[in-house]
Amino acid sequence: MSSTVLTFVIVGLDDHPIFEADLVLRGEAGSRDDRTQYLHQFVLHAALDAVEDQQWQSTNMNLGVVDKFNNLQVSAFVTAAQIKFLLLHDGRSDDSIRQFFRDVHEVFLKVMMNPFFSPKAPVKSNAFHQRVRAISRSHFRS
Amino acid sequence: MEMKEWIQENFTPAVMVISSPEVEALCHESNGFNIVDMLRPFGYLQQLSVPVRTVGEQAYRIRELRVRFYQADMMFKPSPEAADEYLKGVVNAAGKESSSAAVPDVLTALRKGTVGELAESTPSWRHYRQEFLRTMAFGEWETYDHPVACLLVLHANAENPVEAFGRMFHSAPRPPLMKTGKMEHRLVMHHLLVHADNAAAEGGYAKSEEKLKAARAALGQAAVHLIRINSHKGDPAAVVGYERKWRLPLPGCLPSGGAGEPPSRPDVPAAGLGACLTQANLEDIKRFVEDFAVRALLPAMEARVRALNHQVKSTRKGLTNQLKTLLWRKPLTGTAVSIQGRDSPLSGSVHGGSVHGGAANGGLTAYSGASIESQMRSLADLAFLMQDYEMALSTLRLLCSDLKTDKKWRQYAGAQETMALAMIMTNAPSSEVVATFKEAYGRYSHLTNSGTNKELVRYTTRAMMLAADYAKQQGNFTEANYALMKAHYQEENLRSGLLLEQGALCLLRERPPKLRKFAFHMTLAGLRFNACDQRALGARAYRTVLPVYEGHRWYFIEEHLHDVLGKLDLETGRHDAALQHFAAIIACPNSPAYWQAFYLKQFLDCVTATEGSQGKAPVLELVLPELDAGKIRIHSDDQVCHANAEARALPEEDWRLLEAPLLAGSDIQVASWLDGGSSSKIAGLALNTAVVGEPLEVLVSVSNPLALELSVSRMRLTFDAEPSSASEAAASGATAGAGEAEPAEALPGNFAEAEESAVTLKPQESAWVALRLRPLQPGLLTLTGVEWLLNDTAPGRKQFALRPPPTHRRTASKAPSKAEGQSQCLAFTVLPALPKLEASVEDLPDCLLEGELRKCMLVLRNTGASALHGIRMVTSGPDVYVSPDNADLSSPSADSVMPGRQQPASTSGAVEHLQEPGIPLRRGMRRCAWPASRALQPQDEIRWPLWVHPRDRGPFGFHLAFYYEPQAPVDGMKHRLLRLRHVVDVVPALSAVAEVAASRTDLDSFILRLTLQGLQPVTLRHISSMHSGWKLSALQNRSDAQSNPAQPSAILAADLAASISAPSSTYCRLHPPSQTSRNSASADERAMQSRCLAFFHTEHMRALQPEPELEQMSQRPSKVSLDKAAAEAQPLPLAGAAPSTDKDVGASGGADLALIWTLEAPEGQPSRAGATHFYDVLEKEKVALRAVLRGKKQLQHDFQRSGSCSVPLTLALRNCSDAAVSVCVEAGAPSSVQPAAEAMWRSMPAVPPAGSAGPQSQAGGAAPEPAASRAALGSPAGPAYMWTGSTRSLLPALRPGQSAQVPLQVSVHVPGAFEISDYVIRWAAHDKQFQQPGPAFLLMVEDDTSDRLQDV
Repeated sequence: MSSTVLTFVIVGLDDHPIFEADLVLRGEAGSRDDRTQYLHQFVLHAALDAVEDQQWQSTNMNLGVVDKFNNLQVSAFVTAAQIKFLLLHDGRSDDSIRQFFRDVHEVFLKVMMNPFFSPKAPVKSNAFHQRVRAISRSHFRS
Repeated sequence: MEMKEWIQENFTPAVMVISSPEVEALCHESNGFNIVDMLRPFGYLQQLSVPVRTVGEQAYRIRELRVRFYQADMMFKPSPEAADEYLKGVVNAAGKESSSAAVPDVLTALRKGTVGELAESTPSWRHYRQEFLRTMAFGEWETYDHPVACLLVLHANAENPVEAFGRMFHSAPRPPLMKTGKMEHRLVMHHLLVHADNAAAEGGYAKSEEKLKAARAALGQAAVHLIRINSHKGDPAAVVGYERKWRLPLPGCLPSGGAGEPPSRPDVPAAGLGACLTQANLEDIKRFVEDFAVRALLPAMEARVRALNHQVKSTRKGLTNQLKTLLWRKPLTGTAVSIQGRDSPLSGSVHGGSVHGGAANGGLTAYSGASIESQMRSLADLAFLMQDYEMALSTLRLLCSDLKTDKKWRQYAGAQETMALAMIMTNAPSSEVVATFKEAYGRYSHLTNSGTNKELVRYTTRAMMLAADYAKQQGNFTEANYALMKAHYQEENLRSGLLLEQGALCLLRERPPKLRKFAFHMTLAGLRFNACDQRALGARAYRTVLPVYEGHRWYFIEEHLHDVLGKLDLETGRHDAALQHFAAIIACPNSPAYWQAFYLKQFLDCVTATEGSQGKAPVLELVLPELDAGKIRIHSDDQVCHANAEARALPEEDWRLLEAPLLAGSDIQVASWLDGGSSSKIAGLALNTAVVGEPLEVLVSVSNPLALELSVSRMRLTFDAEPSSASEAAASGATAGAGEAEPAEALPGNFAEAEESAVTLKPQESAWVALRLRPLQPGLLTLTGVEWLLNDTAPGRKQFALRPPPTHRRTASKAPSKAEGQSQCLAFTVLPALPKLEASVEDLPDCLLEGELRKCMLVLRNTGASALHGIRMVTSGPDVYVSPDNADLSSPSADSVMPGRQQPASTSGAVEHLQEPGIPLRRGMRRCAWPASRALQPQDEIRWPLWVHPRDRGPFGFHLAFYYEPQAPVDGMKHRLLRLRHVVDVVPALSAVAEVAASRTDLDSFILRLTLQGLQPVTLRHISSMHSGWKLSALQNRSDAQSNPAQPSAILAADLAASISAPSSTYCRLHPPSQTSRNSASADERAMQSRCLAFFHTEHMRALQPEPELEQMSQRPSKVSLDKAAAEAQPLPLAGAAPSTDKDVGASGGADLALIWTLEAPEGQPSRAGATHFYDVLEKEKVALRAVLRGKKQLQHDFQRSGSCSVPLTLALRNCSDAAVSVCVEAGAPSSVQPAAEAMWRSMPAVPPAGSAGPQSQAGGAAPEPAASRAALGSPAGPAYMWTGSTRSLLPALRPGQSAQVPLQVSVHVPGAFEISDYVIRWAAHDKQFQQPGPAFLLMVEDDTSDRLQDV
């Protein structure tokens, strides 16, 4: 894998991150510094302003790259329920990101159909986690 | 400040001041400042109206002018390092102020819309920015800071001032740039004579005036001035007191000097700055500055602009020049059009001889000072200073195009920057202005060599700072933030932090405010501050953003913020604050284990450090272990006590059911409105009740979210207490935290003591921890929370926060039950000491066998403080039996259930009996009562035998509820209840199947087949008939049976080890009760039965029977009805069977059996015994009519003598149904219905005999059967016998239980063996017809040849 940053976050209501996944394949990237997680969260959290800014300017759920910090880019996707998918990456093709978001959305809809789903509570389903990883592998294999 | 104002204020003509040391000394001593400082406040000239004309035809008026005075040798730019050092000092000073200031509350400011104020309140920024720009002045290429005039200051008592002026100018140090020729050295000169009144000069002021005249004559009328200072005579009343006027414009000094200021300032005199200046002096100075500016400075600048313009015009403007530039633009350096040698443009405009020329050459820069580009720049800057911004702008545009062509990017960027300023002044569109700034930034940043050229980085920053300022003015905060973000990239940490902070504040002012981005940038600023050791500023930035992130579950972010803040606080010695931060991050389940360990260690170290510095570690609201403050269970023994934890597990409803019969007999006080006045105030509240001396238990749920092991010790409850009035005197402090040992122990009447418990939680483990509190005084007690010690170091606490139960008014959901309410109420009424009964069941193993009869010991003990009496008990089901007396207190063994066992003599001698040995209640419950007079003193105990008998495998539970009353009545509690429950596992021991078949030899008895398979090594000991009258006998050989018939008895001893591998069977005969023995059912036989066995056997059936009075019973049973029931059931424990069933025993069967078996236990343990019950084993074998065909089975007949042998048979019939039946026996008729089971069990005749159409005959009649019946069939395989005599008999009415004999006869024609079965018994009862085949009879007829032999 050429680049090493690929963090996916689903943000529910009140800016609560309800799902987080570092989609970089372990082993290839070696042991990553845990501290970069801080920066990633900061950048993702800061990007929420940009997402809210842009989500009303288009009818498209996929917003493309909404924010940048140095060489980190944040792509966003907003579902109908105002739940935000954020992907932190370092320059992936828009096309694969769009596909990735679309597929994850499909899986996420099933999570939402759970009557106990709350847009503020973390999604703990292991199956969902696995599926997201599988989708990421299929779209971001470079 | 408006940007334009700021530009007008700062981009003003600069004047180089060269003063003699005498003058300086005079000024220092008396006033505490330099000559320059003295002149500065007067440099701001208002209310002017000076007409000036630069290049245009039209003159314009200057209304306001600021003149900047600088000491000549200090007109240079300090090195970047020195400047940064100085700026750091500026920030430090501001940081000190800010550390005490409150951290701005961003969220509140956003809500109130006061973000603007927030932005203005950043402590250091404004001053920093001003000082930063000041240290950027006197650049090489920007000439607006270059001096346009030179002021020579001399003491008035100097000899020959004119010469002195000349000497001074030549000898005085000049700005470094001027030495290198980059600064214009041909300046307009002005001369100032200073007359100090306090310096004793001969001739006084008049002499000075003479010198002035002389100088004026030599240097020109307008070029020399005289001012008078230090006129103050030391009269305090005459002090002008303009301290502020002097102090405010005093900029800071750099240690190395530069930026226009000397390295240091003289000490401030005691009387204050400017103490020796009188009003007249000030007027003098003011007059001088005004005169200088208007009459010397402005005209000189005017002339210089014109001269420069002329120069530029001739070389660069006009069509010809443009074409020339386009076509023959020279390629770069050194070839600039030199105007060296020509007259200086200024030379003509000043008074002759005033130019002290001769400067070093320009050197090897790209453009020498005399190049046209330099001149254009000078022209533009001069025009800018002269407020002719249009002119400046156009010149700069022209210059920029040239510079661009020459690729002189540094100069180009500087020109762009100034151009942007000029555009601001000419009201150009803001987008253009910003674009120009950005262009400047772009060019600068290209040149910075990725940040290594510090000088250029500063220029870059300046451009972006100005752009941001402008954008902010325009309300374009997005642009401002962009500019500041750009500016910070290459900057050193401190400046970068400040820029980021400003950028972040801009984000807040956007519409809508970008709070999250603000927080991020602020955090970055904090990081930068921390990196350059600006801890105060860093902490401030982090504290500002903490509320933005807190509570949104971005764990890493919160972790980072708290970690950094905690460390900062620890460094500054604020242990309490550091602890708070460290405590906030110790629960970090998302982090790897080593970080968790690190954070925890950090926190614990901090606790230790705090303990060391403050003597005592503060008790914090800790998040480790996780304690659900809303989910607690309170177990307190009030009126209802629970003897063990299993008792609490049973639903409250079940206990209520059990307790209802206990409470039924007692007088329950029902409060009504009539006695409302008498009830105490406390009782009116819904409080729990606790009793002094009895611990109340609170179960709290703790869990460990980490991947580390946590040890939690000294966990205890905290409480508030309010002693009742009686004990008020004892407890003066109403509140006593249990953890605070000192005050609690200091109180003589310690209100309650909390037991401490400890728990070690493994990673990810959850546990319920039971915390106990023992009240010591009556009163009111409220539980407040829990305190503990984490890892033996950090004290923590958590307040209980019970959620009120949700109430849905619309859906009218049920109100919380009392039990729920009780467990959620934290307040207790503590009653004085009461008796307390504790119960336990001893000798109850963990695992019982299915059907085991286990004798246990019920132990009742009074652990309370006073005596109790009136113990009653209710047992839950038919599986528990309470012995009516306590005679047998021996330990359990298998023998105790063996029949015929003698009651052992009581060892204690005094045998106690129950007052009510067991009143049966519904659902198998039974009530027992000890004699009311039996009082149980404190620490006294009662031991009582108790039998349990689990019937089914799986968990087996039984409950006991006790009722008792204190012997001495206590207000508020008349009686108490105790609940005890035991649950044990039951494993199977023996699988037994009983099958019964009717005996074929008689009409009464049955054959019993028991199929046994042991799952444990079980030995069958006895088979007991549990039904009165039924008896058992062993099966015998026929011969034995005739010689010595077995005497049937109620108990049949057997000794059969049940095989574990395969089922084994045993047989015995079952005898129904005989008419004679029934009534005299031998009491001794009954006595043989173990009482408990009989109880268990019958009680189970009773419990299974439907209860007609169930509904009635669900009402509260009255005492009368209960007593009546007790009287009726008095003889019950001895009743083996229900006596009323005797009447139809014969008809309905009802033979109940019990198998008693034993199991040898391992060494040292008592052997175990059990019983397996069979109820109504005749159920399957129940037939309405039993029939047996009797007759001689073996015959000898001489067939030669007589062809047929006639055999008389008797069919014995017995009506086993409960109705009278009419019976018809038809011989020779095959039964049309053959049950399938029968077909398999019995050998069938080969062909059913035909000839069913036998002749109708009367019963008892002997109509001979035609012998042709068999021949008529023509079947060779037909039976070789023939029915003769009456083949159809009718019994019109056979009463229940009655027997009858029907004579039948068959004729046999050949010897052989015959099965006689082709006859049918038809019977009718209740108007229904039934038919059953007659029992088969095997007949053997032999040919008797003895007679013949005799004949022979």
